[in-house]
Amino acid sequence: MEGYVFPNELHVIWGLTIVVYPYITGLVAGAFIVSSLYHVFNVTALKPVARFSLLTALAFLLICALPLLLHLGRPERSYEMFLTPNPTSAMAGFGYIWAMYTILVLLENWLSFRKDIIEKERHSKGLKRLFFRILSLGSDTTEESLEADHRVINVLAAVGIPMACILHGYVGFLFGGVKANPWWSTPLMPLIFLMSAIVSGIALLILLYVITCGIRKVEIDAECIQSLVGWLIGFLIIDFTLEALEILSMYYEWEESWEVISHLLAHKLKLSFFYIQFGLGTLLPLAGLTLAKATGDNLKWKVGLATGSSICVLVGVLFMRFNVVIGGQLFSKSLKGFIHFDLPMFGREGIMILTCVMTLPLILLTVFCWIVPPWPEEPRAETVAMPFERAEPL
Amino acid sequence: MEREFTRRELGKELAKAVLQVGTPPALVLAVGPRIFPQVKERIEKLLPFLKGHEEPAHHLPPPLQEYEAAKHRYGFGVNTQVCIGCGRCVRACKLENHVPLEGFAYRTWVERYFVTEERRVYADSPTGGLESFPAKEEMPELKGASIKRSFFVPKLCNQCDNSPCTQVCPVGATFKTVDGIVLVDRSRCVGCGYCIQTCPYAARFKHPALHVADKCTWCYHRITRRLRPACVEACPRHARIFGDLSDPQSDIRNFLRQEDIYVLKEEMGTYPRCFYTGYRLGVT
Amino acid sequence: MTKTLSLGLKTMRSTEHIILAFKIILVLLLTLLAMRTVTVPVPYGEFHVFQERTIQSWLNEVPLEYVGAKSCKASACHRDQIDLLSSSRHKDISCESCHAVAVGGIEEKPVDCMICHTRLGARPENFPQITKSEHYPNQRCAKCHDPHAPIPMMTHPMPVARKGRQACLICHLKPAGEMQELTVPGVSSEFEYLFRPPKKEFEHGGERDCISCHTLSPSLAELATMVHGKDVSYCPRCHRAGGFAQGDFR
Repeated sequence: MEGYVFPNELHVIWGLTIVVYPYITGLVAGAFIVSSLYHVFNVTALKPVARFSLLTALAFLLICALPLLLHLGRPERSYEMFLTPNPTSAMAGFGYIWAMYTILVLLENWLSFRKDIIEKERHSKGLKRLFFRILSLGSDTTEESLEADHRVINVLAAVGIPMACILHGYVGFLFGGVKANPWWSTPLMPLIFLMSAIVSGIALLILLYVITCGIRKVEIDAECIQSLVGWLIGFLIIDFTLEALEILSMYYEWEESWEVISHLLAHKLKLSFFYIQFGLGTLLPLAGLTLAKATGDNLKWKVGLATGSSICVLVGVLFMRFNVVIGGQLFSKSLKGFIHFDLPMFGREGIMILTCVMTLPLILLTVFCWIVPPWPEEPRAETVAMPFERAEPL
Repeated sequence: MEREFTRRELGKELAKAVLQVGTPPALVLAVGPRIFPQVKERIEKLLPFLKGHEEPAHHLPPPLQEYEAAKHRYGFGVNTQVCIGCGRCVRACKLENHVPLEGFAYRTWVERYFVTEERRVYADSPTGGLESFPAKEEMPELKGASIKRSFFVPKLCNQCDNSPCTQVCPVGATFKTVDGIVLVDRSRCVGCGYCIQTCPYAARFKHPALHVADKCTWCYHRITRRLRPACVEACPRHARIFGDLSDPQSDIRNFLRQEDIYVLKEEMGTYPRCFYTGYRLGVT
Repeated sequence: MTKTLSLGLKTMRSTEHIILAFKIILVLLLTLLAMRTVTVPVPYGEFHVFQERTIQSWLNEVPLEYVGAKSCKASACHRDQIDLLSSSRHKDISCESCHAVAVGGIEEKPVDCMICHTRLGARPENFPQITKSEHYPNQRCAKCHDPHAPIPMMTHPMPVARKGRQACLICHLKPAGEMQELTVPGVSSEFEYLFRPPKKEFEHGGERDCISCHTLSPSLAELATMVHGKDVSYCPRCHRAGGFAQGDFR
């Protein structure tokens, strides 16, 4: 402890679990935006990752409540947020927003993969066949039904964009609405969170696309990477602008809290803010991605630079969450002192358990991809699969 | 396959849909109230930890017969000019309200402020003032500084009229009573910590044993019986004043007749019910 | 003649599976809503049932630890301490402030006087505070200061009073007429007035103990009137009414 800290503030209340939770919902929002870019805005270059990003969004969405349950003092009462939510609380919105958004993403996934599910049903026997039949809700692939699917998918993708924004934006609002904490209290906070969420989602998709192409031993679509990199650069610039604007504004206004916040940034958060979030997470990837976009035909360089930059971006966004959540609790509301934060390794909010939480969505994603592979059929030598053609009568 | 609906067929389709969708909820509504009490009893028997930890009941007061909350409006006054920082109030509160002695949980605490000649303000509060205060020479920041003024400031929950904590509780477990006290429902608080983050006065904390939010209640269990809060009882200097604002003869109304009354962090718009007198520069 | 209503249904063909999906979702949501209606006693956004329950719990299920000075002082026990206290400097301090309450009873041992009376810069100047190392560091505070009547003057700690004249002269050293030098080290000059001796050497009654007249009467004013002779009501304490000749003392 340095300076003066109120006696009740000696420990951080919102720890690493609250750093991981916005990170996960951010990845969801970002992945969904990529898929919606294809479905709603017709960015055809993104076709290879469109369905995959939907699965990614679903996998991360199903896990995002877990860090919250790990954090709650009384997780056995968490259902109360569904039953008796307080309408004036930003946090109470979580239950319903998350539930509705999960339904939407589930529905969109189901409609996107319905044809594949039915194909799999036809080619399997016994219990597996029953499983897929239930999954398809007993429907069939007629041209009209698939067209109906397509329209509904477009509607869902369009509706899903504001919903994804709300899902992650409410977290930003939750922080931005805490007037007691000058590091959090700003109207820009929902936007900052949302932009960094989209950035992390796109970066994740680049990384996963490259990895899965490597696993499947398939050539990486250069146009797809080019498009993803382009969108990432754009959103990264917007994200950086917003974050820089917030700090510039605080410095220019020099309110009472600036003294303690500038000390926070310059000393306590020097490593995690300037070097990692800004340097490693923003400047370096911007350079790398611009180079990646500029390298015309050399796919290896393009992919290498894009992947490396994406990893940097992902690390940078995680540290951005850390700087906001933990950083805001490192200084006292008396504006006269600081506390120390020790990274917990074990325990309910420790790094060990959170690493498991972060790998769970990837495991889920692998399971999903194994059940319904999201990539369009590559043309093979033996059969030429025509779209919408029934292989055998039902 | 194109289907053209006649009006009648459309009506039949809609009716079928409503029946399909509406039957399960209707069943729940019809049968639910009858079986729910038994189900609840069963669950409560199987999972005792769901009821929350209960402290052993010892020397409970007799049940309060009639208490009309609407007739009271409580207020608190703090006179920083007479506080001597002895910390009896901190100890009294911990004993009265069974706040754990260790674990950095304080419902009330005492701070000491130093104002230097250049109007720099320093503060300290070792163990919240529970074991009183050491001499000022032990504070490293004050080496070489010339102190113009120093004084003690007791702090506690302000029971704000526009409290941010009641606004942000996701399950509505914390609320403001009609007589002006903000209480926490220990059986419904989920321990999310949002209220602790939004309190500008750092008056709230997470109870180390119960894992729910806790805070000073102005000893609600005492004031409703016309006793004084424990900290007011224990203060040897009348630095803490408690009373009913709706009673013109009360101590707090007398206190408020003074000239220089201020509240903490007025710019936050919380409308606190705790009023301070004394030197105010630098008091956060 | 049946009218065909298209309602845009013509453009959406074979949507049965989508409608089925929506129906499943709707059933789930409505069932959950119905379950909530059965289990939760208030509609959305209202909490009065829970709040009343909490208030009742606070009113009746929370134990009281501190009794309150009023109750202590109204009791029949410890009358001598209470009476002593009632006119002393410590009269406004609650019994439980020093005899701190432990959960389940009162602590017998009172607190260390230094908690309040250590010299701290932040304490008001007019508050009695000492630096222990400069003020009889090896003595117990209670040797001279009765905690229930801390000023060793009119209100006497019994240990001092019983020791007779010599004990008084520890502080009241100088003969009459001279301004008393503070013989009590480590006390601020604010309290100098407490150590002023009588203007005249009080020869009255010879070797009488100081406490014969300076009895357990706490009021400074009483002392003053006694000394200055304005109020003769004290005289009958020793002298029978009617005569002030020697002898005839009570």
